[in-house]
Amino acid sequence: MNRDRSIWLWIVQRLTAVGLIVILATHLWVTHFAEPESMIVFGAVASRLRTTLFMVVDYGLLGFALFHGLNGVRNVLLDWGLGGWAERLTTWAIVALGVAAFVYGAFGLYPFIAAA
Amino acid sequence: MSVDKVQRVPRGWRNTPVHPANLHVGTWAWILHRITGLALVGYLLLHICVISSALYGSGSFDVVLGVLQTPFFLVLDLGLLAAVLYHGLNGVRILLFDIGVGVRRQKEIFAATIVLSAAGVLWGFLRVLPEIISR
Ligand code: HEM
Repeated sequence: MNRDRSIWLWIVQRLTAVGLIVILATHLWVTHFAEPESMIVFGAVASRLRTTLFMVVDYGLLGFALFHGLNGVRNVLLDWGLGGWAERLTTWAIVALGVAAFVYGAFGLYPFIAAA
Repeated sequence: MSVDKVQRVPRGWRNTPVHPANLHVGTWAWILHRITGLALVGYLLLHICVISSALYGSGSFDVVLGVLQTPFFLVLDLGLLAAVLYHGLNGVRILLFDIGVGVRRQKEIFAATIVLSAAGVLWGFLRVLPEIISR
């Protein structure tokens, strides 16, 4: 990884960290703490996801957490001193996992939105 | 020079810098940050699969979430809360150090992250306790 791109990843890791504080706090508050007695059921989640605010929160969380988390996993793996082809393989495996998880998660939220 | 004047180099794992007793506060903070970060990635991938159970019908989603809201999983959720709180708070500590704030107060700030995380988990425990007892 050349230096230019590493410093960008380092910066984005920090920007996603700050973003996650806000998005994750909102997500946890709304799903678990705002109404502690209520169970999480399809209908309740669907009515939330119909609002723009929660589409932004949930899709944003999906993207931010996957980027931040998987970039973190990549950093841990590269700490073993990988270089050359091993580093490229790690990078592409992480990218593939991230794209697959994002697409699956994005489709997974769709039934709630379509339930309107 | 006689041989017994030569300083003996201590041997054994106990005397290496990587023995737990010889680690610095910052190293503990880093190890915990790493473990909780990796655990959260594992949780995130599971969480995506759980929520995507809605792809197989709203009934499937409600069955899966019904199981995940039984006392056993509520207790596991406390572990998740602990990981999120520690990783998030220690993350803030890292971000502050990056902009040069609090570097001289390392130990106190680490202690604060531990105390705040523990307080958050205790609060969560008190919140799920009635649910666990009533079911
Ligand atoms: C509450 C919001 C969060 C904050 C403030 C935060 C903060 C940070 C920061 C600052 C780093 C960089 C550490 C470094 O470069 O030394 C980091 C690394 C990491 N984060 Fe987060 N994070 C948050 C949420 C998450 C979530 C939700 C996940 C999982 C999906 C996650 C997974 C990771 C991983 C795997 C690493 C790499 C660990 C390492 O390099 O040792 N983080 N986090």
